Amino acid sequence: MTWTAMQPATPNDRSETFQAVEGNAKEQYSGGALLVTAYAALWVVIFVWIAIVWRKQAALDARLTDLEKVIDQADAAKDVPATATATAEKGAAKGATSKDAASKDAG
Amino acid sequence: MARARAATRSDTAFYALLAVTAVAVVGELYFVFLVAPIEKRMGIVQKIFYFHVPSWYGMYLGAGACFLGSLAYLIRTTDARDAFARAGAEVAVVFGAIGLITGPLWGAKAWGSFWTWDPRLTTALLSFLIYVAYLVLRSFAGDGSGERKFSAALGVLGAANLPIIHYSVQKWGGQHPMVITGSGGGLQHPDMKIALAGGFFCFTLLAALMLWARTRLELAKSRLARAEADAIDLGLDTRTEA
Repeated sequence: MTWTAMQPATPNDRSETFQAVEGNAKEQYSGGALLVTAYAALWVVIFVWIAIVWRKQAALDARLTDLEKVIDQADAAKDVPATATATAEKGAAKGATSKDAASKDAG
Repeated sequence: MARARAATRSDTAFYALLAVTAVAVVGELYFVFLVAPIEKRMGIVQKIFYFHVPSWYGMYLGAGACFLGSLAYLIRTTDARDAFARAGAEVAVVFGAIGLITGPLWGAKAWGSFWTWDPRLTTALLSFLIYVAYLVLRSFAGDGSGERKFSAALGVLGAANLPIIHYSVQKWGGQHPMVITGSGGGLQHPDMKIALAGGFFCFTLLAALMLWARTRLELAKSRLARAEADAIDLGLDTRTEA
């Protein structure tokens, strides 16, 4: 006979106390299998969740790193011609100024 | 450079929290199985209690995070707020699943059946399903601004059921035990109280860790979406280049 059978549950028959077992009383109704199942389920759910998140994070990080590298390279490649053009324009302007000064001196 | 340093500091803090959580969980398992006494009437199956109750508390933490993130997102839309709300919903589902698995295993011993349509069990299942619905919506409805706002509304409204779960046993009766909040003797051995407090502590750390990990993942997703948009603007084919 189980504890439940001894004290059939009624709608308002709820536990309001837990007491420690006294002396060397033997457990009559083994809940070992239920306990092991509960704890196994707990850890399976948590570890499966961790594995899924870990895998997703690793895949995202790898893709993000690759993509950012490609974008940086593309940005750098875009900047090189722009810098070269700016230098050339600056050089041309400087040349024109010295030419003007030389012609003034000659005048 | 500063961003990289902040990321490293954040990683260090994350792994420190992970280490503390692992130590706390091992300590709690030791205490529950080797120190806390066996309960007089229910026997060893009562030890489910030390993780079952904290798992619902973890579900409340996740649901609370979803509520706060959703509310904040409705006030001002940012990726971080949306990420926090989504992380909260997922944490609520994970801990709710643990509660829904461990509860019936306890019930099998205590009540002789795995499930009854007790008010607390029913309202707890309803809340779990609300957060499952939230995640299904986020997974299948796309990630546009409208979908995010709709999900945020669900995250806010879904929290309305949480106090109902809590007060259902007091208002509508049922078979669910009231060991913590009832007027009875509660946990009558100091080691039982320590085991339960340890369970709450462990699940607080676990919930924080899971929220952090999931928020990081969502933020990385948003960063990836922006990087892909940048790549398209630069005329790069993101499928082949990266």
